[in-house]
Amino acid sequence: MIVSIDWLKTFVDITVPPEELADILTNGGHETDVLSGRTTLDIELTPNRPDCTSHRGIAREIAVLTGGSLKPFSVDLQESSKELTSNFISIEIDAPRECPRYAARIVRNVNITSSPSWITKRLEACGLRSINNIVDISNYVLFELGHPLHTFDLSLIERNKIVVRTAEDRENFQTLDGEEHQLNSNHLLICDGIKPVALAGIMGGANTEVTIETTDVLIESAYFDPVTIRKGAKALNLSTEASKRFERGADYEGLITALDRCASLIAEFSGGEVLKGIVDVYPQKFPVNKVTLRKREAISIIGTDFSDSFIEKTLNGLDIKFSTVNGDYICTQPTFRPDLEREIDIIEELARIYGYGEIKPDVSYHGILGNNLEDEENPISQLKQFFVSQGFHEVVSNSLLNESEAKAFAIDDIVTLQNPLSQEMAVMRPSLFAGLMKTISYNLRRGERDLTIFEVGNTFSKSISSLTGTAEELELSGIICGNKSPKEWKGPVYEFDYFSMKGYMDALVLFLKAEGTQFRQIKDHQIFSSGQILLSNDGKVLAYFGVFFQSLLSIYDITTAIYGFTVNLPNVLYWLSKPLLFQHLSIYPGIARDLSFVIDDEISVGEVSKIVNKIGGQILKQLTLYDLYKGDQVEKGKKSVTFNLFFQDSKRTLTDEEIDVILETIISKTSKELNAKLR
Amino acid sequence: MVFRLAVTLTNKITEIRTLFQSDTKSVSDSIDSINSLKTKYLGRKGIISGLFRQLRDVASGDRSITGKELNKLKEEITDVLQSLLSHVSRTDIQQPQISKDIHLPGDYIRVGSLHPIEKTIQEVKRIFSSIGFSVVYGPEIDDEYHNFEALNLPKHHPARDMQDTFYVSKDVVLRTHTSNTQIHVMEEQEPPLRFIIPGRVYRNEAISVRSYCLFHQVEGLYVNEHVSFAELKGTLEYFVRNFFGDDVNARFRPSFFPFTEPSAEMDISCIFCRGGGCSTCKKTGWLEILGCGMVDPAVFEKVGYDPIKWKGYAFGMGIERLAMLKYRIDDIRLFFNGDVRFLRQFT
Repeated sequence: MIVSIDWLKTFVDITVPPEELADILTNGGHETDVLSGRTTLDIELTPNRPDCTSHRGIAREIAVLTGGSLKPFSVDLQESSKELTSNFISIEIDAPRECPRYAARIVRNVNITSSPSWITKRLEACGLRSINNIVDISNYVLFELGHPLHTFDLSLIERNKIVVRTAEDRENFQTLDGEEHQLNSNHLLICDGIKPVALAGIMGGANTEVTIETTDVLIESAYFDPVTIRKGAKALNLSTEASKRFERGADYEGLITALDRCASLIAEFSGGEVLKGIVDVYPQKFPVNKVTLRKREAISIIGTDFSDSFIEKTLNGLDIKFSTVNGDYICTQPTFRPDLEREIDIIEELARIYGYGEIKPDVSYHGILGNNLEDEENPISQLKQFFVSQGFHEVVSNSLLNESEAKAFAIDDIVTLQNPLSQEMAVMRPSLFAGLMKTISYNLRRGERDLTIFEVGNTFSKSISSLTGTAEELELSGIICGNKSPKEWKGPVYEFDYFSMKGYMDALVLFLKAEGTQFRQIKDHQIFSSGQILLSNDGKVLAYFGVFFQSLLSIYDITTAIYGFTVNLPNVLYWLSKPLLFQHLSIYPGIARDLSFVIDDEISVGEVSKIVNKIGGQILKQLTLYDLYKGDQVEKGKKSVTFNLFFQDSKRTLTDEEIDVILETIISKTSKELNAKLR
Repeated sequence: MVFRLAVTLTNKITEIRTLFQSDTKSVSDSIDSINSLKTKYLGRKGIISGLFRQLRDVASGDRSITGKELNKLKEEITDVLQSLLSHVSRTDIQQPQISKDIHLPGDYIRVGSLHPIEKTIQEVKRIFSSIGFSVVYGPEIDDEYHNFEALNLPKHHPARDMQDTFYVSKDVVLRTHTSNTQIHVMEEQEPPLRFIIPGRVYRNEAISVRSYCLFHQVEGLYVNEHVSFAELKGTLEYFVRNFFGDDVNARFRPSFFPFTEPSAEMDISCIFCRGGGCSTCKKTGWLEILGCGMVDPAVFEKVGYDPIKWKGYAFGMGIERLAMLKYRIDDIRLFFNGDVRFLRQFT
């Protein structure tokens, strides 16, 4: 809200420069900037302080924050007409919950002219355009006292009657800005004896607007239920100076002062005469709220020692009436402060006025609490560190994406937003690969071709079993593409390929110490044309990897081959959290041997190594395939595979003779079962 | 006979010592000749091993004394040989040829990096762990109750305008803060409690240099029988000094959040202009970094804690904001587009 410093000065003495005033208000909880010209301030108001939407309210804050005093304010209203207001208007409230109070006055024989320049100047300073003296004055009082008022042309109010009722569904109404609105039962209407004349608390109607022809003015000053106004304004996507104040909670007692002030100014600057009396319908008076403030509680919660004199001065400065009983302060909640309902609310006021900066920090941290909760993601940090140490860059990507893009990764169960920012960000990611591919594509376009990246984040799907109808799964996925290294002077450049990807997975298994992990072929995968899955010794999926379908890559304009992997975090966490136990090192020397077989091309290396491992048993510590050959040196349809075997025992020195026996068994077994020939 | 064996061996030891001394005198200054001397005396089939084999035949009473003498000889020989090896002329050894061009680069080794958001979260975790905070996590998609109502943010309250919200269905939202997790934890656990919640949150805001539709937050909650605003100040000032450095000051000013009362906003003295006033701090000398306050009793009532007995404080900060200040990053979008030129700066 923009306020005029000049205007504030009518309510409080200000001797400090604008910048200092802005600091005082900022430190009092109202973020304030000095606007250029240094005559106005821009105050960012918090939604709990409707009282501060006025110059009088801000002046009260300045007074209490600086230890000054608020100048008294009263309205000197001359009811110069002999006529009674009640002879010209009657008010009927059909919706007392939505409109607990409605008051009105009438000013007759007004001259519609322009406003005096001090009024237009002040309004202009606050960003309001001058219209005519009547409209300007109701706006002036709004900005002065914070209560929204509305003025009607009395001659257009039919049957001398005001009726407050809720709107019918699909009822139409034209507001004074010329807009036609379709209403629903959440809206509250001000009607005359025949027709609606105003959208209560939001905007008046075009049909009863004060114009150049107006002679008699009906002034409305009412209190509307905040939720009703909020819902109504939201439904129309309309926010006005009036609705903003009503939805934060207006002052149901102070509305009479505002009404009188408005009538008095109109009479003064339009030559009109104010009719006698107010028509005030207030069927159920709001109860007075008493709040007990315990000094000890305030001191305990804030952690600072408030004196009685400070407390009393603060309560007085905030216009909070109080009495003391046994050292407690029995406070009456001011009707202009809907935020001061409870003791804690008043304690906040004490701290606020005392100054947060004056409260001495306490650094006694209170040691260990009984139930220290374990950081479930600690093992994930280890895993991230593993990939970083393998040269991967961690990325963080947008979890919102285009629906058709999402469907490339998951056919159904995609979580959709009801109110997306754009179609590009309409659904929740079903896979991290979408973001990773975008990242790859982004970097390829910038000439960065050798990439190893990973991301850890949630992926989303629909789920009937959960309360929110959605499920989230924490995943780790990565992509490699391009060359392992840039061109080097020493030698050739190696491209990342399928087996580079598998190498990272082998390293992952070593890192996890997931003994007995097996690789299986992936069949009919949605995103990988070819890939493998890593199963732990109890059959759980640890990870999978593969090469993406080219059609998927074309969504991202990627033409180069890229390889991806996903680690199943819940299953991997078991291995990461398994206690690490040291294995004794053998003090006996080991024996290394090579074995080279020629086998049918269809027979997999796995089939051979399975037999070798089985016969080798405990003492076969390592089996490494170090040559795979197809070509002129072997028969067509055959291949040669060469293994290195390393034997060692932890309890004794192995003899060459016993290793020979093992090798012979391997040779005869592979010959029998796989028709393998020793080369 | 046995007695004689011990004497024989003792004499042998003396003999070998003399022999070794003369051998060392005649050895040439070359690795090969010293190594052949080493094999002669200390090798698996060398003189010393031979003497140790003879020791087995010595009577047990004398074995220990003779053994000690033998060990002494072995140590003497080892020492002398090591000293000879360490003084041998270095030019003698065949070395691989290394280019003299010092500008030839080494082999390419891939160096990875953690994302600055992760680095920042880890730093925040480290600091709060050091003063007894646990770390917990919660769902990104939640019902309105946990994201709003339980945090004293009823439907149709103007304070809801403070957080533009994405809806998945009528009352399911993308969380606008990680405070939803405070509610989940309090629903499940009895106080006292002290934890932080890092995580991803969403706001329905257009993407620009300064704002993104999602960001990361760390929220903190402490609940105990006596908790004061002064402790909240002490904790957050400790955090700020640890994160930004001892020369950075914190200031607290009143604010409004529905879930805390009193509420505060914490600013730090501008790290760019040292409080002098610049464009980043809009000439104020201060940078806003987090919101905090004492837990509103209404929140405790929602989770079934007795608000008369239990007090607490809560705070929440944006990780991107912290990272942007710490690393002087001027465009929030850089965090999310994965530009490796950006990522490589965080190795």
